[in-house]
Amino acid sequence: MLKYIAKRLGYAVLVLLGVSLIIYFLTRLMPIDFVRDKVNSMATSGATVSAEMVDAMYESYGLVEDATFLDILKGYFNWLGDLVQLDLGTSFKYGIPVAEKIAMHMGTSFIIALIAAVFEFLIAIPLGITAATHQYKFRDYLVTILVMIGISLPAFFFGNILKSWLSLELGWFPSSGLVDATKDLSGITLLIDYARHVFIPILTVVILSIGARMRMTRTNMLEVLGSDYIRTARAKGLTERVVINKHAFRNTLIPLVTSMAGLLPSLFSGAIITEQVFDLPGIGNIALQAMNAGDIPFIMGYNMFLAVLSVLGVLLADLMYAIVDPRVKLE
Amino acid sequence: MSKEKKARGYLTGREIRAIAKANKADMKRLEAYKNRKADEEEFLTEMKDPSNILEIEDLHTYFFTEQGVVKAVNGVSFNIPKNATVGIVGESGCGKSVTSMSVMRLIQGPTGQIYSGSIRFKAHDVARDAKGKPIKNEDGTYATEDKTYDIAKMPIREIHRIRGKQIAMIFQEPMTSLNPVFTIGQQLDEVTFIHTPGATKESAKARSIEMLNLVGIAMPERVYAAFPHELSGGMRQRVMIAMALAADPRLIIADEPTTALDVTIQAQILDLLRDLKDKIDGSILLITHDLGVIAEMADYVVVMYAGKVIEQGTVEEIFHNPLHPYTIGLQKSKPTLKSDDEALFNIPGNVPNPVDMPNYCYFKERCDKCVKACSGDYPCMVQVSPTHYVACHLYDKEENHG
Amino acid sequence: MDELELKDKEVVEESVDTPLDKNVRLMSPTQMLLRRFFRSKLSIVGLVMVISLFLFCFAGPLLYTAWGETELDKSGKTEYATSESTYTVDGVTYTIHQTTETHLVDNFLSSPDGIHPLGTDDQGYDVLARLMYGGRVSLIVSFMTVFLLTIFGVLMGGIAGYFGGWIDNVIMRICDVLMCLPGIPILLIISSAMDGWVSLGMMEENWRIYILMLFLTFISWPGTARLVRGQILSLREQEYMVAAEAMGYSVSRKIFKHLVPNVMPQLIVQMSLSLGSMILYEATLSYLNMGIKAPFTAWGSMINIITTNQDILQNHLYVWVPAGVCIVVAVLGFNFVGDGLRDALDPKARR
Repeated sequence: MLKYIAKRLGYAVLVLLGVSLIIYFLTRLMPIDFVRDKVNSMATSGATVSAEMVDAMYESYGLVEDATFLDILKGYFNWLGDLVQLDLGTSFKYGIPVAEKIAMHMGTSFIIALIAAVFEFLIAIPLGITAATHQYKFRDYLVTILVMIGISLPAFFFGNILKSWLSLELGWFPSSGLVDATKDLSGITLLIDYARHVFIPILTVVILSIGARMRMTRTNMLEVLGSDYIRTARAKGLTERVVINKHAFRNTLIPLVTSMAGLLPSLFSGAIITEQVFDLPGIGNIALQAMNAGDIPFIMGYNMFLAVLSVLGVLLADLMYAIVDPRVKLE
Repeated sequence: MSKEKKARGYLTGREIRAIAKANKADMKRLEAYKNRKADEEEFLTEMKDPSNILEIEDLHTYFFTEQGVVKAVNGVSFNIPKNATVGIVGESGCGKSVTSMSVMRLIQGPTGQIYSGSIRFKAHDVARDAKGKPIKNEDGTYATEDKTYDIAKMPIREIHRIRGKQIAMIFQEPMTSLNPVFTIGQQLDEVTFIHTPGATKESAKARSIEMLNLVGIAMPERVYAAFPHELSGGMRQRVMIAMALAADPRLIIADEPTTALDVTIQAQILDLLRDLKDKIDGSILLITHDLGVIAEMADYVVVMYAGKVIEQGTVEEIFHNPLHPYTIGLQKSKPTLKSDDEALFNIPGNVPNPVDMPNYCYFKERCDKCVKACSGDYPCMVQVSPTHYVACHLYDKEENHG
Repeated sequence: MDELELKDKEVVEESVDTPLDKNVRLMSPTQMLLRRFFRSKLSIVGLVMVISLFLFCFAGPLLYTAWGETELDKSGKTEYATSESTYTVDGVTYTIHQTTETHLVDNFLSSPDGIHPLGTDDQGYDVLARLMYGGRVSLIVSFMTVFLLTIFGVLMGGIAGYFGGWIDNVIMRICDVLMCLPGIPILLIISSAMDGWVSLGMMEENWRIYILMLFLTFISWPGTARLVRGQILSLREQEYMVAAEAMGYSVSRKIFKHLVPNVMPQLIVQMSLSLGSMILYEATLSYLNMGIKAPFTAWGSMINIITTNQDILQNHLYVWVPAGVCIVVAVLGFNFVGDGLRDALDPKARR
């Protein structure tokens, strides 16, 4: 087991090296003059970028005039060296270390994603099972249509519709931000205010993500229901309810729990579009603004962060699989 | 008639739609019948012959496919006497498994449905009061009663009265028939829990271990705690047999129990089944395509071909005096040591596809003994001895003609 | 009677060499496919959605000629604003009524009426016309992307599966790396790089979306490649392929007689489903202002306005909602069709 994890981690590091290479070279596609302009404009607009910082950045990213291939390579290894020490550089736009900025805003994204994920599973699993046990009946079609609509809705469109309707038109919820700055709130009222602010964003995320999960449950359940051991369970004389809720459900859970582990890292990565629509101070929105501003250290740091999360997600899912399914042995 | 012209073509769009429409109506009706709520009186019945435990009469089980209705079981009738072993033999696709699945009501709907016929079964169960609670005798044991059900008419929600407790089934695929996420113990105990009133954790476990011992598992405690994937195919089949025996069923259906196993393991499992036959107080319905297995195990033999019974009788009658050309062919195609100088006999052709069957004898095209009557109606069952029946025009009695 | 007898005899003779199962008529494979596809009402709905969107975008402008894509409504209106001010001079109060006349050149944010069935946007463009022309961009870009990524994926997967060994290894490792790249954020990086090129005049602004989607194909092909490679590998294990090998069939025969028919159904399904997701990608990028720039437009770009203009978001739904509905209809349509195709083409699908 430990050996397997070590092996997988080693492989993950290799994949991440590849990812870092791609991200680095993509960032390097930016013309140097343009970067210089950006930095200057940020400096004039009041961001705290010191000259030393800019110079250090130029060096570590190999942003030298007429850079040779060797310079670029040197720049890459400089950046990689910093990366290994968990130093993602300092954001131009925000003027603080990238890692610190990411950590600062991760919480908001995490809370929203976590609550959304809980609701997603709570709603999707029973619906998916109902659809599977009533295959080709009315309920199944209804669920399938809902699933498809959920999958097909663009986040920016649906989010804005909800925002326009529930908050601007009806005024039930605040339309943006995480907290009402005009009031001085504390304790339970503050918490309620938070809840009111994140309600529509969470609703958006849940509705958009529920479809895929529901479909996965349905497919799995159908596969399980067609298997020989379900026939055995029926032949034993169990009632259909027990067959489904005990024998079939336990087996359907295997891929679901596995996917839950895969979901864990994505809890931290933030939902770029949803956070943009509702102007939430989550990591996704912060990253979007940084990217629009051409904040190279932040862009690279954030993308590496995402890549690490997705590698971790795959690894976690595999480990989880071994825990949930007695047949799977890691080697 | 342009039968020749149509013969090689595909179905036309209109025909496909007609099939779909007819299927939809039939499936809807049968599915509703299956899922209905009904009083017990509706499916209580009487045995024709009290010495039988199971009587199948004119059973039709159909599959409604897009290509047409597949009459997988098409008018099958036979009986299983008390404490007897009946073997059903036939090529693959002849409907023998579907017959057994029909008895267990395990046919997968909505495509597969019992279309008509009756399956009478004499159940011996704990007596229950109106609320479904077991009735206790004064000495603390449970009262029992005999009831005869027509399984084909039972609503699916009542079928748990039969499954497991009255009729248990051993399946063909031991590798996939056990739930991979539960231990053998959990799956065995479950049978006791659902069928024995007042079972406790300890009593269930004791019963499970006892059953594992009975089927010849050397370390029952270890197997009890194991997951299915940790056992070999033969071991899993033993577990399946133990599971089938756990509730003391009156009838055990073994659907090709040895087909998926190695030859040496096959022999062990057959020995086990034969031993058990004497130990348990019940009947066995053995389904196989292997005549050798039938010869060793069965008291009565039912030969099926393309969804119909073509010959049935005691094992001696079928083996020493086979009458139907198909049965004769089956026996000839068994390899023996004596025949190593000549080519192995085989029956030409295949089992016909059961969509759109003709109304003459289904075996006609493959038969080397055709007479003129074979082009006529499907042959009736002819009784040649008190226990021996055959459906072939060769044995038509004169008075049955015209 | 005689005739009947004769007929019977014929049948007997003929049936000697026609076994029973030859008399059974089944559905032809095409019929089976169509039947399975149309069995679900949703596939029909999907097909109708997709076809009508295509007609709307490509044939629509031929019928709706009142307004062009880049044609501003110069009919402008004249607005009058009145104000009054009072002041007192030497105890006398004067009130001055002032009317300002503003003549607007462009008729912008006009509500839906007879002239503009869906109104005009903040610039004065006709929303309905732009919906049609914008749809062309969205659909063409998505189709091209799917087409390219499928070709690329099939090629890479085919090479990996066919040659195996270290080539397979290298390609699969590249796939692993690409699959870990975050989609939208990576495209955002490239977009900011392109900001630089545009500002230095090295690039046309309107190339942006095409370059972004091209790049999207370069990070999305691993899915297709894995599918093709997996199919080749599993095919290699099949007995009939071993037989084909033993019979000395040529490579092209093996590929076209065995591989293509096996992988085609899954490819078609994947293509129709990825069409949906590519439309979503394109729309999202356009929404984030990385799409085609005015005076031209795409569905996503038509919604972009609400990121900066709260008034339109709240009060002028006709400007942005139709474009969103078009996106949803397109994606939903392709998903329905893809799902129907999966049902029809998957040999394991049962009913």
